[in-house]
Amino acid sequence: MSEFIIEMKDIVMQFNGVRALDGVDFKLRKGEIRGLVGKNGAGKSTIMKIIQGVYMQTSGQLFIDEKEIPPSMSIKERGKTISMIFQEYSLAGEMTVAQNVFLNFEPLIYGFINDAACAHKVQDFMEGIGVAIDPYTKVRDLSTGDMQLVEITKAIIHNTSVILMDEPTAALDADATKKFFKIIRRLRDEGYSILISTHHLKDIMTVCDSVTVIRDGKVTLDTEIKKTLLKEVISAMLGEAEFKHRKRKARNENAALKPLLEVCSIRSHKRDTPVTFEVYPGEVVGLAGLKGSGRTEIFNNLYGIDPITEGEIVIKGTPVHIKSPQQAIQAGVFLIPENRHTQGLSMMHTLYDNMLLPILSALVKRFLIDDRKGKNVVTELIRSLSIKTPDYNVRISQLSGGNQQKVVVGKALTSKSTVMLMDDPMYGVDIHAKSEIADAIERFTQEGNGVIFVSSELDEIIENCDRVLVIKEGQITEEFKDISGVTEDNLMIAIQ
Amino acid sequence: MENYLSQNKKKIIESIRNSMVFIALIVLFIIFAVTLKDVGKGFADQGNLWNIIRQTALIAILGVGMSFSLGAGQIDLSQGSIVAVTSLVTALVLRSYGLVPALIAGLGVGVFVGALNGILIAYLGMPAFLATLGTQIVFGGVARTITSLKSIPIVDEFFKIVFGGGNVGTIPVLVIWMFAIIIFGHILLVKMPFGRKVLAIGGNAKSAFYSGINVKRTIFIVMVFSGVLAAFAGILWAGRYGGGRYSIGEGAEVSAIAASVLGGTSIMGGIASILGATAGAIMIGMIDSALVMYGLDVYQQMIVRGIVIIIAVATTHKRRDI
Repeated sequence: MSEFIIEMKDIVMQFNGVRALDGVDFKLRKGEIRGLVGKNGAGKSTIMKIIQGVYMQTSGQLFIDEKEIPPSMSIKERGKTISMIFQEYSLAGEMTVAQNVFLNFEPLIYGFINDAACAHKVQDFMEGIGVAIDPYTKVRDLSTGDMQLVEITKAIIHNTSVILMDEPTAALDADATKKFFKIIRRLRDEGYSILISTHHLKDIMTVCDSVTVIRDGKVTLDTEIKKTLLKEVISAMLGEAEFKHRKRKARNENAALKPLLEVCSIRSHKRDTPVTFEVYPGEVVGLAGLKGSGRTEIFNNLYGIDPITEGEIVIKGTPVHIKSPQQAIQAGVFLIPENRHTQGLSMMHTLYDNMLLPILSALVKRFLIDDRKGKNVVTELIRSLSIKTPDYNVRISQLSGGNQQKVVVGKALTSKSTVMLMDDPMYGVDIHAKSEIADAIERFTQEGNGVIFVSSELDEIIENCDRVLVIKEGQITEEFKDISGVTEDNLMIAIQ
Repeated sequence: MENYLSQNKKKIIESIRNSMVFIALIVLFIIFAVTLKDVGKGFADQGNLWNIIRQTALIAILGVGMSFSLGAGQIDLSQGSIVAVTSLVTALVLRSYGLVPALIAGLGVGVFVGALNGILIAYLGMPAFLATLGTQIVFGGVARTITSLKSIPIVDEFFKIVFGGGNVGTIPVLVIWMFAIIIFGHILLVKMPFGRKVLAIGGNAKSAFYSGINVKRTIFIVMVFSGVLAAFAGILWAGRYGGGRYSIGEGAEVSAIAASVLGGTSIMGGIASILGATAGAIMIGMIDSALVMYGLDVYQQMIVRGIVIIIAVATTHKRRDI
């Protein structure tokens, strides 16, 4: 009998001629927890999706429990052995834990759902794996961590033996993460084989038995955890010499410069650790931290979504009161939100309408909107941001992701802001659009404005920022005053 | 290049769809005019047409308010009850205190109920459908209670002429009021910041919020606006029928919703058209009139009207994936 439950041999995966996986050999041992590590786009989720059957590999073999799996085998068929836990919760909030776990598989008596039997089975099963949740609780009353555990229970109760998890702890706080990993270890001891992909490398080092690192579609490290070190994993992930394609031009180094934005020990209801920092004219300050480290929450304070209850925000020497996005925009602050689909744009409306939304009142001439002026503003922005669009009246949903994001940046520019808060502005954007957004940042700061830049991609931070603050659990733990000597490795270690 | 071609094609299809209600209006008119030319003075008789527009006017005015609330992703089911209460309050106050107090009191009803809707929806976070269903029932009850089901006649001739039955030349006063409100509503919606903010909220309330729009206040104002227009329609209704009555305006909000949706307003929010809603209202009026001329009784009319509305919406409305 083989010791491997899953084996991939020389797997190649091509998307439109691009090699996402380039001859990957991957193994998951029976009864182990394996970490799968790599930068965004390195090929982690492609590996998971090939195992699960969402993608068919271009070439190469996949074995599950020693049997070769034809690429065409359905997700459902593979599901007898393999469960995938998604980042987005697939639970129905108004139903109980037991009802969720048995959704679509309800035990029946005389054609009626036997809720008591459901609850019993679920309770027994959860006790078996060390989860203490009342099966009669409604899911919406559970904590995020407990929801995650219910999700796992739901996935494995039908006798699967392999669990694939994509960023399972992204939404969990420290305590919930600890509890979660305790259960994961217990599952391993029960004989489950578990594959976890995550950005939290420290978790990998403490929880996993082994790790596979991939970079650019190739496996760069495959080892037991006790035989490796965090540094080794990081360098396998990032590669040796990643030269930067781009550096910001040196900013105006004037020591006498007064800060543009001063943030003085601010706190709010939702964020109780005080934070202090400042942004100087012409500067791009990076906030580096993992998802959930509190970066977005600081933005919410500055933008009036979660108004501060203590401390002070000072812009150009004047304290400002920001209790709503409206007041933030008036004070010269504009947020490029994390998610352009749900927060940044109205997808059903045109480029024109989206772009001008923040400045409608400023366009009014004798009670009416001056659409001629509006057209000039929008046409000029389409040109300066190089937005690829047939015209300004095109529906925003018809543009590519990168061009959509440029429209969001355009909204910030129309509103004449002096401080731009950018929350992962290059997420899901192609390289070309990235560099055009970087150009826009460059021009914006050359006019003496400031940017606070958040990104999950450390190379983006290094390329676009002058100075970096490291955020961990809602606090600034470290500062890199000059980015020029900083490498991705330095930042990666600092944020863990 | 291909992309641009197909985009153009899409645009053309979309613009046809957007003007569908106007095309349908013309087509129906021709059908009715031809098939009903021997009934009485004929469908296309000037008197009959004015009559249709007069009947339509009140629905069209409600349609303006409804377009704003639907456009903002909300709805106002309380319009009919506001019409009823306003007709009674206006008639009562007119009898005892005179014209100006009557108008203030009548419009006050709209402000009050609209503000109540606005508070429930915008500040207490209730779904608009349920909040306004609640106020619809409450004020339907109020309309039946304040005069114990009795009608209140209006004897003031000046009021009846200015707010109902009068004519300027050959044009009914009602029609002048209707066009005034439609033009105002149209400009407010397409050329003023308020209207664009309303549609932005209906399209994506979150992105509107992040763009610095006071979402709650805007929705509040929309509901007050809808209430005031309903109250104004109630005043006109009272003037036209020569009195206030609890049954005036009953179910009118449903016609207003149908008119708006026929005119291209999205029931999911983000898209609205005042001119479309007006065309929709006229279309419903035309259908009603034609059905009477075809000799259908009231209940048969209901059946046909419902079927026609379903067909019309099916052809004009963009299909959604469920």
